Amino acid sequence: MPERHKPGERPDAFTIDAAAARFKRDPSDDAHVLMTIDGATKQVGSVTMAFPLSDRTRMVVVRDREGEEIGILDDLSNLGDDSREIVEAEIEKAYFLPKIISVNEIEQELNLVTWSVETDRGPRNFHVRSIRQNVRRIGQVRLVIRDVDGNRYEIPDINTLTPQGRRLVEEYI
Amino acid sequence: MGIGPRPSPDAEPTFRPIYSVEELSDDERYALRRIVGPTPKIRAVAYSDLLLNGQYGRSCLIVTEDEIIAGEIGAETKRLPLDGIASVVSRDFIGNGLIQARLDDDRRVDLLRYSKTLTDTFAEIAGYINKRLNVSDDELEAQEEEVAKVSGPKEERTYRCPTCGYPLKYASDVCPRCTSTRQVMMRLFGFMMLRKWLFVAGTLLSIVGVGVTLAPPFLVRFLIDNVLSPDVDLPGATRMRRLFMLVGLFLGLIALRFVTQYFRIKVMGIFAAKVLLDLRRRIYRALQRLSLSYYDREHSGRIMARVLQDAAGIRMFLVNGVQQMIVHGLMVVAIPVILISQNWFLAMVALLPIPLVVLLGRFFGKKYRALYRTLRRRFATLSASVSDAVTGMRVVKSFAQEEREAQSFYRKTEDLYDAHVSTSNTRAVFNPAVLFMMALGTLVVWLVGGRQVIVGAVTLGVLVQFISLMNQFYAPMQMLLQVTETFQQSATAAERVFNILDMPSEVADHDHAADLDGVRGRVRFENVSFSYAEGERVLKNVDIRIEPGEMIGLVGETGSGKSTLASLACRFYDPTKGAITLDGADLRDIKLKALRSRIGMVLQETFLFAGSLRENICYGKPEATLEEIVRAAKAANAHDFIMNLPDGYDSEVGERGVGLSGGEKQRISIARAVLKDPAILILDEATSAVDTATEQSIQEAMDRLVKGRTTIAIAHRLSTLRNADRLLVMDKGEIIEQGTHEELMTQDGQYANLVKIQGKFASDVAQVAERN
Repeated sequence: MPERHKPGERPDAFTIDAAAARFKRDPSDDAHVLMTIDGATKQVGSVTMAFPLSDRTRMVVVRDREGEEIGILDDLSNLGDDSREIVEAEIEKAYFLPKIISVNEIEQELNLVTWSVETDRGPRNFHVRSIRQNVRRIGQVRLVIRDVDGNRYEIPDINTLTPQGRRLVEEYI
Repeated sequence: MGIGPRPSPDAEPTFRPIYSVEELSDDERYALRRIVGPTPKIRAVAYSDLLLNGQYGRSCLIVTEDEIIAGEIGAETKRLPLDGIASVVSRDFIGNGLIQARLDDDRRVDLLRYSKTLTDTFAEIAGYINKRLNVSDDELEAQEEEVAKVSGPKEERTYRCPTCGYPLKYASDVCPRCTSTRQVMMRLFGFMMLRKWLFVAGTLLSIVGVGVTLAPPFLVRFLIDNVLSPDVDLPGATRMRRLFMLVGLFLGLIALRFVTQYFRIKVMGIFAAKVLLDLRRRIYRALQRLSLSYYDREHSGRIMARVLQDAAGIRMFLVNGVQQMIVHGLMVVAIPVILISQNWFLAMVALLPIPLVVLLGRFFGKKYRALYRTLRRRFATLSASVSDAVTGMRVVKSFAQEEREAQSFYRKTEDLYDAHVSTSNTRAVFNPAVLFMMALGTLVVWLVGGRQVIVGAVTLGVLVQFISLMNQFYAPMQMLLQVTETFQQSATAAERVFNILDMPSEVADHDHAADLDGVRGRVRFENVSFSYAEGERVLKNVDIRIEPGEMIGLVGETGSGKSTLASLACRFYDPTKGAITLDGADLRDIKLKALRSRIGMVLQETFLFAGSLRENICYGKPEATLEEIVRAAKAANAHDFIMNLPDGYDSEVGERGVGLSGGEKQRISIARAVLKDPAILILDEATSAVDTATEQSIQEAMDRLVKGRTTIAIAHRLSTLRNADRLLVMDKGEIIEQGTHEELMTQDGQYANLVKIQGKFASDVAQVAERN
């Protein structure tokens, strides 16, 4: 793991110290998040992870409504609880990646592979074209799958699937 | 005429120079003596296949103690005393070459002509003679340049086997003629012995398997003669018991055969896979060890074929070849032995058709190979034409030439069709013919053996045993007939692989190479000359001193040696002459790994590995923190476009990932260099081929990068070098001007000229833009 500096210790001002940032939601507007840092409050347009697959909590880019970068949050775990909840809700929207818990069926028909799975967000069927291009292996056990429509799904660890499910998946990767 | 042996006109030329007379045959020596005379010592001889008048014929160049003698064998010769000769030179023309002597008074004398086949030989002997004449390097260079000016276009070089002269397609190819199948197989066997227990187990299983296969005919004989035959004088109950026993035994054998086959195939499969694994890993390591000059010489497709195809060829041999050799070899030896031991007369009759089948196999085998070669070649032609048509579709359509392309494709399909038909025609004859012969053989055995049964010479059981053993004999024999060919093919594949394993790396750490600590970045080129392989020098006596933190801009035409100079600084190659030092230490005395960890490169063509952007940015520093990565990307002006990719820094790039533009890749490679934080930086045409806005963004990133680092920057666009402390103008491997932009402008030399051209171009463009 890359080293993390403790809150308060700032080697330089390259990133925003998450411990010093406050996020608030405008009660009248769901799309309207406010960030307060050093006494200044700014409207947040978007929150984007720089490393959505390798580290979801570090290096989170905050942009204003014009799309201009306000700054980069070094580490979400340093945020206060309320702020963190808001930022994570934003992130979850910005990068929706359901986890596949079990695989019921994978079938190939011509070039299209149909997956029938249970995710942590409920059951789902999706089609994947060209497994080689759309199933990405990260490390030894993790898979990120992109379906024909651009939806993403994650298998955090293929070893946690049932043996049948695992066999089905491995047949295709 | 009539001196020595007259070579037949189609005799193969001597490809190698003969430096020592001892290598010659008595006849040749005799012939040479007739020319040279009895006393002078012969130092070197080279034979040519061409006469000075342009006729093919055998001529020779003889170097003795004090003379050069050249001319047609058995005819007039030229004799030149060595002390009247300044130097000799071999000049290549189209289709032939000429070796010429330059006399002390600068007159030239043509010595010998030779065909292109012998280019290397005569270049070599010219080198030898010049060495004996003590011609200085400078003189040779001057001569080379003079020759280069008047020579025709360089032709693609044919590589030849250094031992026998067999023409090879690629430098690294293995000579099929010289490959000693036995030797290579022995070495492959060495690899196999790394996994010897698997091999032993597989072999034992094969032997047991053969035994099990050969046993049933014995049982059949016993069953017929001692159980079923009406002549058997035993009570019915005993016969029944024996019948059950034998059938039980049969069952046991079948089961045993199943088990041994299962394990044999399994064990040999694992064995082959393991040997291949060892081999592939070794090849990969060897590839990494080899210096870049190997990669310059070799086509990357060829190298990949080594790792993939040749290794797979060896696997085929290990899985099928070795197993089949053992199994079939045992069968082919064992069956005749059994037959003869049973009844030699019947055995002779049974084995009678075998020589015929062998001959038939040989005959058709040759025919088959030829047919399949044709088939393969025509198929290759066809697929090349399809690939052409597909890639060139735009051109075809724009010239409305669809019809012509289609016609040419039709023709090729027809050729392929013909090849297919003749192949299947041959197959239609061969396989049935072999079956026919074999059936004929069986019939003869029925006839002769049947008669013997009737007269009571042999029992019915023996006859049946014969027939069934014979049926088991033909298939393995057929296989063995083909095995030699498989052997030859895999031997060449193995030899190519071993060739790579054995190849020495030209750039390597010597034993006392030191680590580097605290690099200041003072780089010196001390009288450096360099040439790729044999031939023209790309750098000539280059002397450069670069101070720590200084930025040097290299300017010059394509081929002036700029990139070579940069490559030498990275020690991708070692200089042919002179030395390059870093903080006073010769690069050759520094560990390669240490040196390269201090050098950062941003090249014209940025190569991104398959993987995420994150992995690509921290390629030179895998332990970098996320913060460092983002910071480097920001410094390289790459952060913004990265954040606009769906997966940010985790986006996959490379063949199956997102496509990045040239400018974006460029900035990734700048980020790479920023993160590596090298003391020395090499920028090779880093901003070419991008639009102006992108160039600005890259330039900005680059300016940040070069700060405080010793930098060698190469650029076509002079504007890229505006921050350089000093500019070096290169031309044909030499530095012809140096100084700051202002100094060079006042000198009004080549640089000033270049600036004018580019400036004029820029202002023209601006004018056109204004007008629109």
